[in-house]
Amino acid sequence: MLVIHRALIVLGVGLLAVLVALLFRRAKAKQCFLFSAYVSAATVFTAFFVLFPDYYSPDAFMVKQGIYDCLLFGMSLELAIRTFAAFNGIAAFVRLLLGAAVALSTSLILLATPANPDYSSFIRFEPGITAAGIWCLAFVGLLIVWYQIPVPAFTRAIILGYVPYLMVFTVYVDLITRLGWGAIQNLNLVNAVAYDSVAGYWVYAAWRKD
Amino acid sequence: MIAVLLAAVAAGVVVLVLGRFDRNRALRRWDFVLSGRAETATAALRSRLAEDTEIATHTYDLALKRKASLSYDEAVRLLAIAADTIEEAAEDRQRRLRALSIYARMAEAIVPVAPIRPSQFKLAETRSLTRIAQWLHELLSSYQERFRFRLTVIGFGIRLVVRSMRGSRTRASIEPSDHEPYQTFGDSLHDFRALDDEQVESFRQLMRSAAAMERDSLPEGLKTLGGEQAEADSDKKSEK
Repeated sequence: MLVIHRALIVLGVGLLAVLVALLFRRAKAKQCFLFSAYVSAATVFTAFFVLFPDYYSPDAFMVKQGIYDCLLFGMSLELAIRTFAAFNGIAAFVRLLLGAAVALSTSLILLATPANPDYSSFIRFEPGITAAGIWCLAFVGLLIVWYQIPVPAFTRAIILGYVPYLMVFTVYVDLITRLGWGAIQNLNLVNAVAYDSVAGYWVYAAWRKD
Repeated sequence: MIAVLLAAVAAGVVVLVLGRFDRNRALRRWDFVLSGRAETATAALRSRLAEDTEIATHTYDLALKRKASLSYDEAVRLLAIAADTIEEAAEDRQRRLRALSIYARMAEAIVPVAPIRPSQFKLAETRSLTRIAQWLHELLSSYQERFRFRLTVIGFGIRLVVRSMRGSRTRASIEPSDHEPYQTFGDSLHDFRALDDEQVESFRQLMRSAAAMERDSLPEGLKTLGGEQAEADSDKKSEK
């Protein structure tokens, strides 16, 4: 691992830890519990692997990524429920639309994921899963604007930060397929910069008062 | 590659659309919807719309007088001024219709609205438009859709009226002594006023729909919006 990459990861852990603290300090964790769970999980996993790099095995990576992916879909649903449940007139339509999005993305994931997904096949199925997750979050964001729902600024920041980062992540995984594992060090650097940027943006959004 | 493209499209759309979303503006819109100032707001809108058309009508009447006194150049000039006034007013109407369409999405439910009556129009094109719209209105299933369709028809009607005015102004400048362009211009002005009335009626129905919104079910931030009306509602509840 390059020194600069390691530094970026350490910076990321620091930012995530600050974010977790701010989420609870500013009482923003309740805006999306699964996002708080994701940030906490990311902090723990990343800190653990920085401290004990020997444990960072392909299997551990797959478990970590599986948890992140589940939290991503859960986050979309939680944000949708929290945002639209109070609006009786539109809740039914939103439920229908998100239900369709989840059903479609689940079918795509089932089609894209091999029976026994492992580290070697990860780069083939992960972009599809992430793209499906992005679209679920994007639907929530677009419906917020369409129905003019005045969501708290931090809820908006979650979507506005996570969706572009996930796009970078999708491109990162896709480039590994195209360029091969030889380019992994440079790609890791780009991914770490993108992740630190979004973590920094979330810290700023959590620090600001809604 | 498909996954990357899909991700890029979603990210681009979200950043553009959600990035430009202004929460304070949305809150102001909700404040307006929940304020319950239906009657005052409707009256204010009616008089504001009437101002533009009154100026145009007055100028049109002057143009007719000049034509009667054979001052054709002056008549055509006045007709052009009236047409410009209406064109500017039409842009304002279109903006307002777009805003109404946004408010309609925010309302929990919309009260039933009647289709626009074709008989009140004089121009053949606006009559035909509203006749077709009347038929399509019945095919739409929800009140929400019917309301938004009504707004679309009004917007399209305004475009037709403006086009008709432009045409009659051009014809009047070519043949200033001909009666037809002035007559068509007058009919267009009449239809523009009728469309204004329909817009005010849509606004009134939207305000009625907003007033019927169940406030208790709304999120915390919105419950307290609406100023005096909200306070009056809470006072009534505490008295009970």
